[in-house]
Amino acid sequence: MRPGLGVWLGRRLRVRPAAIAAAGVAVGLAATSFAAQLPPAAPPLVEIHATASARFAPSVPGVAFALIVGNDYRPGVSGKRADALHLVALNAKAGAATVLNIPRDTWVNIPGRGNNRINVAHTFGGPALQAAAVEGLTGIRPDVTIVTDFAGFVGLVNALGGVSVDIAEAHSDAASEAFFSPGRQHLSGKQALALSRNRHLPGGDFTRTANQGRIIVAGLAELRAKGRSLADVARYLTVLLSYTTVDGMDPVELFHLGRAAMAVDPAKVTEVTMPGRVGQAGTASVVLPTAAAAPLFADIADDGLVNQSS
Amino acid sequence: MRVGAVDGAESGEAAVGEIVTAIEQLVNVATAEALTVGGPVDLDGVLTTRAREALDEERRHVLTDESLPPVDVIVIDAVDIDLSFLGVGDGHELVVVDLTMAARAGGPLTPDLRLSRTAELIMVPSEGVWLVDAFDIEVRRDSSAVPSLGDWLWPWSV
Repeated sequence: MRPGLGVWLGRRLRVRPAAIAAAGVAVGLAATSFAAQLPPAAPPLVEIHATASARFAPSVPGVAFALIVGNDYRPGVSGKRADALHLVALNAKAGAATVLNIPRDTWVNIPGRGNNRINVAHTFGGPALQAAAVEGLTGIRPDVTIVTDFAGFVGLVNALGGVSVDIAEAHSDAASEAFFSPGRQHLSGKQALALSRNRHLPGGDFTRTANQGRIIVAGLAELRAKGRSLADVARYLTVLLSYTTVDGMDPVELFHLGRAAMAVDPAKVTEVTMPGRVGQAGTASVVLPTAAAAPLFADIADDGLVNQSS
Repeated sequence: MRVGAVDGAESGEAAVGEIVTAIEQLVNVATAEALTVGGPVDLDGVLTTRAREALDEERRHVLTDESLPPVDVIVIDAVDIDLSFLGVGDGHELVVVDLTMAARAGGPLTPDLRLSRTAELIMVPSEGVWLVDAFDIEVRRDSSAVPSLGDWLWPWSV
């Protein structure tokens, strides 16, 4: 028996000559030669119970990079600065991912615009220039850039049923409306936005971007737990596309990327914040990458994973 | 054919009708035509180019019944589908089809062949028709009183 054929239950029964003739017609000359070998009285018959399966899905790139951008657009505030910047690296083969949190005040060269905070690249040139600025910083070119704003973020989180997040520190900030005690909490869209905005914390922008990354990781894990069939992925993407703009992939490509993302084990997601320090650029307070940043970027660039020991 | 749950088709039922037509085409070609003709069938109107290119022999044996001995009679007992559309704007970019089907067939070599197939199909629109772009399929085939012609003659091992 060949592998994968299933269970064949052999038994010997009588067979009529007509059946043998039909078999010969069906299988051609080979059957004719076989029929000549059949014993005349008790040819073998079998029952066949065979189950087989097959699947095919277009593969996503071995490593795919998605830039997640949250801009600060809301009524009364123009500019659309990218106040949340996260580069998500997905290694489909390893079933693992990395979320690299990039502080919004990181001082970089913005192609064609000179040196500035990385978050104003979005103001100058939208998703494409934002992706170029991140590439200039990290050496990693995003395959897709997904952008949302305040209203989109709130709507997205609400549409997905909220998100459960482990909050590490106490929050009491009127500016962002973030009032939280430490511990695991299920947040509405408005609460998740408040958590992701609050920078009046020990660590300032570093803590804020880490909290944003924590929301992304928690959200992905929660979706995965709710269901990750192909139909589930289609539903999630329909919601995502209602509250975001996507640059760099068509919806079908995004679907297959989402399918791969849902296959990632949450335990294999590493969240890491760009190593940096607070510095000055003229009169502006900015974040400067430290010497540890470049090796980290290079480490993530090769396979999407953090392999080096820190 | 029974259409069950439909998600994400807010922009109209036209797409649902197109999917039903596409699934009928798939069943007609991959099962009915394959079993009655008993040879390779033309899948150009069923699969996208990349799905066709990925269709090695093993996958083809699961997607179609063309390698079975030909039958005289075939009855499709049930084809049930649930649909989940991925829509953008007013258009539909993709649909996930959860399909179950059952069929019976009879012929000189397989007098009581029974088929059941469950599938998750990804279909995309292409020039007015929906084509299968990716799939996850399980097929079960049962038959008794089949002359044992030997593994080397039996054409549908997978």
